[in-house]
Amino acid sequence: MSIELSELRLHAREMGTLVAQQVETAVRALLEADGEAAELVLRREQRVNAWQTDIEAESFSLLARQAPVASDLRTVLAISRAVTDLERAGDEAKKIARFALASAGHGVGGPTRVIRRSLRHMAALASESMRVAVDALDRGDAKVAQEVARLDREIDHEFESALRQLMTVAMERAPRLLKPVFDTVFALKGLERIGDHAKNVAEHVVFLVSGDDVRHAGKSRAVPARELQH
Amino acid sequence: MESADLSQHTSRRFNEDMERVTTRVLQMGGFVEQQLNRAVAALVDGDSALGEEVARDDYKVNRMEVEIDEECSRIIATRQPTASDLRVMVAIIKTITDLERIGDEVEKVGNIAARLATMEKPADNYREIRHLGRLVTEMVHDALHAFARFNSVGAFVVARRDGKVDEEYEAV
Repeated sequence: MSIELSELRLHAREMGTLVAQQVETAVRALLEADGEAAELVLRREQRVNAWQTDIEAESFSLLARQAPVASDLRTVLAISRAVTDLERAGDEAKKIARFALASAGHGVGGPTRVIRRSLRHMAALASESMRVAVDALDRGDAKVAQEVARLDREIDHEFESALRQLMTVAMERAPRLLKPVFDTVFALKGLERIGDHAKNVAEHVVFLVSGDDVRHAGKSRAVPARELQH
Repeated sequence: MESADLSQHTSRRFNEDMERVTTRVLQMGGFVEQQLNRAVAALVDGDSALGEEVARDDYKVNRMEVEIDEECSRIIATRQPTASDLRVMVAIIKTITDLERIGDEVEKVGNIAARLATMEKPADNYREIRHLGRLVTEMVHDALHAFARFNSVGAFVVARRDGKVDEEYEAV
């Protein structure tokens, strides 16, 4: 395996570790009404984005200059794809941090308090599955996929349970309309995400035509990840 | 002379591969767009059968993604495309990833639509949802249109030709 490919794997792993940290810190910020922790997540989000830009440039250059085949090719493609997911997971952590920051002034709020055990558990599971997955990506170990799938089922289970607890609490105030209200929120959420994805598709077209990476444009993409680390 | 023939041959094969793949991406995009339209319709019309159907059909989107993805890997491995061609391949792979995820979100909207169908509609008759639905449908449509236009005017060929022109220019 070439030095460049080893480096690429290492970088994907570092990015994944950073994202796992982001998830943990964001949820801690929420649970402890810690505004500083929330701001830390928001600052580090720039590093996550910078990693994505860097790793994708590395992948592309590797494909173009070394024309890898077989398992090396699959590794590069898998890393490019994983980086997209890592960045999106980072985005979700950022949103949690924003929520934490917005509510930090008022102490730990009602609904959040009710499901704090679930939140803590979900954050631990999510960051663990992230670590396991990027570790597997680095080592090229497909066996742990089952382990990650198991963790994911556990997260889903906890999510359902947290949702039930929330509904029970809110139901005491708002009666039978509650379930539809929640469902509508998720529908809205789904639609909102679709807008994001459509934007991504359009950005891929820009990349395809010009080679310009326009994601994170106007934010902090000019700062390389390695500089931001120090 | 012989090697020039060979490279022309490879290039023609690559063009054929590209044409086939981009056609399939557009088919996949068209289907996802249709799924999205049907999911929003199921929600605002309270049509539970339609919502269930949309959710059930998501497997087709997943299948298309896997097929196109495999085809792209095969092309990269066998044709060893140049940098500009490679850029097109990478963009396609990323595009189908997003299309597949749009499909996943649509599946969720379909399931929710099916559940909500039996309930009383909100007073505003899903005015906000209708509006949001229209906006995202337009975005998906425009993004696919950008992709299609790039394809249909032979821009892939143009882009490749441009790469060749650059090479020749450098050689001079």
